[in-house]
Amino acid sequence: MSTDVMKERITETSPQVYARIGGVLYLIIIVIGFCSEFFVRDKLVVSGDVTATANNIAASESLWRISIAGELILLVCSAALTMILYVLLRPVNKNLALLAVFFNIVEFPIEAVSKLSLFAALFLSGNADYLKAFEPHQLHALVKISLKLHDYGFGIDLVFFGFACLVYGYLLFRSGYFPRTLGVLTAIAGLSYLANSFTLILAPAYAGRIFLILVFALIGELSLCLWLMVKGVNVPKWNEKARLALG
Amino acid sequence: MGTAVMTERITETSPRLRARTTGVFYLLTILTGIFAQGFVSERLIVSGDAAATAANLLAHKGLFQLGFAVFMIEMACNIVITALFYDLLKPVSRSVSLVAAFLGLAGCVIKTLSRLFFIAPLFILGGAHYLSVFSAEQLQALALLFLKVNDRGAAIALVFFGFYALLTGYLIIRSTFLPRILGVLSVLGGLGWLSFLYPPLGYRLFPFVVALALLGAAVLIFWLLVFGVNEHRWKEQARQGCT
Repeated sequence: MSTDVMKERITETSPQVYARIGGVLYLIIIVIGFCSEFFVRDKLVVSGDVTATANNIAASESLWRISIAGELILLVCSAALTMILYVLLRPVNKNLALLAVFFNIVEFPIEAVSKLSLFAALFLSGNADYLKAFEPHQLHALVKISLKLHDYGFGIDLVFFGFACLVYGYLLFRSGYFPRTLGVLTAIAGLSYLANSFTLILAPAYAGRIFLILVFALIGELSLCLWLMVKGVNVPKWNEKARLALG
Repeated sequence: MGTAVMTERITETSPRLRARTTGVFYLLTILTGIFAQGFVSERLIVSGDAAATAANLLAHKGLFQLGFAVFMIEMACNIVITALFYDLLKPVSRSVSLVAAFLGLAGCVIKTLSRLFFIAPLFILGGAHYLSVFSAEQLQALALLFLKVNDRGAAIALVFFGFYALLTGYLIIRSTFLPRILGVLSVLGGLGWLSFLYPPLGYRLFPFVVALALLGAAVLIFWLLVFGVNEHRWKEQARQGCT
């Protein structure tokens, strides 16, 4: 009995550990996401030149593959982070915390499956025999189509991530054990993801320009990441809220 | 402290309000779905005619993009009702309600992913320079091919939504706080969607299946919006589930 109580206590009083692990996972997620976007895709994909793009991808095959592998690891970390945020924010409102998880659960597979298009782009950039049935220019166009499918897949998954961020922002704001500013920044991050995705869908001509709005997403996510890592959660207030929620 | 406990309790225990919210989001899901499927997809896509479809898409580009955006809103609302129904029906059986939610989420994932092939024709037909290596007929064929993939993907999702409706219907029948007839209608609607296990049958029966499912949905939405749930009985069943 007493060991049971002890164990209970230990699992009960570890929101701080969860917060720290969550912060580290978030940092890994941000670093991998940033590197894949800016040091791999942005460098190899030449806008307006499909031949150069295909040649770059073919020449940097291992970099391309490492970046895909990295993004799959990113998703594994995201799944763990989702569980941690659920545990941390459940005391605020159990149903909304679950809703945020559900948005994430729909988002992750879409993102993972859209990486398939990056593999397609890699295969089409190669010079396998069976592809000789197409003209090189046609293959390069197919590479571009694959990359476009990936961009749209990513845009779709960010719709759901955007909604998840809005819910997380509200929960952080209402929590009492995280600063309200953190909630506001997370909600702004969510809005900027939604603005970015819906611009891509409704006015693709402006997608290149609106992309800059994701700076707000980076600010919001980096703030949450650093706060979790450095400050963590206000444990006494979390405990109080958790007790109340259990009623 | 005392009032804090009170407000806490109140937010935790307002099943009727949550039932009404479920009704609102369910209605939104149905309306957005009808708009995007019925007024955009069905009207612009000419089955079997790649050239006519391409001409329609390019002539009504804005409407097509709007249709896609509405499809995304539909899915977001669908996720919200999945979470709300899980909570609402949890007192009947937590595990069955969780299985139902997972089936619903799988349906949402498949349907959303298939929508990628709904929007893709727009950039295939967009006239970018790099696409000039293909003939117009090839691009139109590719666009229609993508639209067919979208259609089949959504049909696969319907099977998952069918199982979801079966379990939800079962939970409503077993519940003490919602009328049984609502559950029966949900089961019938779910059985209809299961016809898509064999897609040719599903497409053949489609008008009847949709009519049946919409009837069930309309009655359930009406009930949730007007009556919510029997709050007293909901709490009672929730308490029994806990012990």
